[in-house]
Amino acid sequence: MEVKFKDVNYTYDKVNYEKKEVLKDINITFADGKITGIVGASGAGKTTMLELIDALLLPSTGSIQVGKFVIEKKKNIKNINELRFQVGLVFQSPEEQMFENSVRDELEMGLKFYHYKLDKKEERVLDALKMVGLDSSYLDKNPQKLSQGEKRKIAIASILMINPNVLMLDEPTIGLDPESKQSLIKLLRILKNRFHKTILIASHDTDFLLSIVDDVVVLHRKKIVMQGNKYDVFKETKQLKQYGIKAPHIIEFSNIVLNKKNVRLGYRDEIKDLMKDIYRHVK
Amino acid sequence: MENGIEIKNLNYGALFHDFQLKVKKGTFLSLIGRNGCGKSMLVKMILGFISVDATILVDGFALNKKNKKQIRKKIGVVFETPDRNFVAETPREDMIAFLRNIGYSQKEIQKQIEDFSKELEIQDLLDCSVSSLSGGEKQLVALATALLHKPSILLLDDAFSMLDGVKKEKMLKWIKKLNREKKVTVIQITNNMEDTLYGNEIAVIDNQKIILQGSKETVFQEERLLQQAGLELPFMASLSMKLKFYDLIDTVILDMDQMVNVLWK
Repeated sequence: MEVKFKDVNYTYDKVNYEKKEVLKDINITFADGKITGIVGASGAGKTTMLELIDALLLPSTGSIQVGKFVIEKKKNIKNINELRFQVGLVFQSPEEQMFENSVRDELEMGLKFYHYKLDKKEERVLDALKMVGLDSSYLDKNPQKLSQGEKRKIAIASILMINPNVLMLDEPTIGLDPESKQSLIKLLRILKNRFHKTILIASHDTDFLLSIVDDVVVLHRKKIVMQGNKYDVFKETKQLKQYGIKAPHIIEFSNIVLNKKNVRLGYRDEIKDLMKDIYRHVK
Repeated sequence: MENGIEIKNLNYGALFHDFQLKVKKGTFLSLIGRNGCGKSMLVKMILGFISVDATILVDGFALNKKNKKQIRKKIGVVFETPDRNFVAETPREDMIAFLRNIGYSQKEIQKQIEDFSKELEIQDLLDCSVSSLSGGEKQLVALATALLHKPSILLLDDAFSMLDGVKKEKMLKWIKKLNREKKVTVIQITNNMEDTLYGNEIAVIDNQKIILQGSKETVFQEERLLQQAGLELPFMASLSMKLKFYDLIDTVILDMDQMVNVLWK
């Protein structure tokens, strides 16, 4: 499912009647079945972008097309619940989407809320837990009492329960240990390759993004300033720094080698691939 | 051991069994372990928020009910969830309340707030409503507040997780400088292995205990142990280990420029 922003501006009214512009002149298409990373300094507008796609916010001007749905300020979206099944957003703070006293209830809540009928509910609950690397012993635990990392996994699992076509994650790696990050990467690959989901990830963690995304969009002061294939964007380490973004370590290393020794190593995702380049050049 | 922090013979449910941790004064330690291993609990225990079956020594004093308030004055803490760091409406009010509570004068309070907010570039945030701040802004304010009373010990629980890359690097370098110049003992809990490069020591929690503690170079040699503990090597350490395996370098090199110079002499 494709997501298209057309001439989108978003301004909100602050408490004391001042207006705050958050996004300006946004025109972009998130390709169907691809994973796109959204990067930008804090306050650049990443979260707002995701909330607009989920129709949690409405654009001040312009429109967002999500599959057959069109999200605009003046029009009510027919069957908004249907949109909410097509698009799932995992919030930055897991607590913001947790309300129940047990993990089981938390996972089933989305289905109940949207009157989703499901035959094998129990099976899906266990599958969703398994996908985020948790076992059935978590079902009766109180999600509020879990560690930050565990909460984040439950939040992801609860969105997977409704099986959206567009999955959006806002800073999903905060609080996740390295092993859990690797599991998340594997899960996202399955969701893309096997289930053809369109995935958007807003994150500061460019190392994580490099290992999973196809494309990258850079937001700076409300606007899109860079976009394209991940290597094309991430290799511009100096420009990214000006936008408050630290490029992935492995890309930064290749750039230092190029600038200092005029040796062109490839831009790689993993060290084992970079090793081949280094070995060739050094030996 | 006179100063620093020591936890002896800690037993706590399924989380800790016969757990021991020694952090010498002036160390910048990164405390790492998989999700749910109890890292954040240790912060609460050191502050005396949880009573435990253990001996906890802070700067030589054994923590108990009577002295915990006094001991807390030596410690600055940034909690994992930024909201837990605030009680007042604005950061400035929070800072004033905090310092007044530990006996600072009006004049001293004003000076401390000015100095630290300038240092951390948060002057514009001081009078905003806390609820209007982003996660990253809250973390910066929380750090400034934790430092106002010039603590000798700083506990950081995933304190920079919401900052963008450039800002986070700046903050970690600043903490490193604080540790080096003012000898503040720092314990940072982090899930990001790259953060461990700023400290000088690492302690790894697994199976209810510390399974590994030492300098970065020592700990990074134990890749398998780290993986068993749900962790991994930071980029430069991982690259070093692979280059060492192929005899392209002799030792672990954690600085990128240095690595490039060694590889292409």
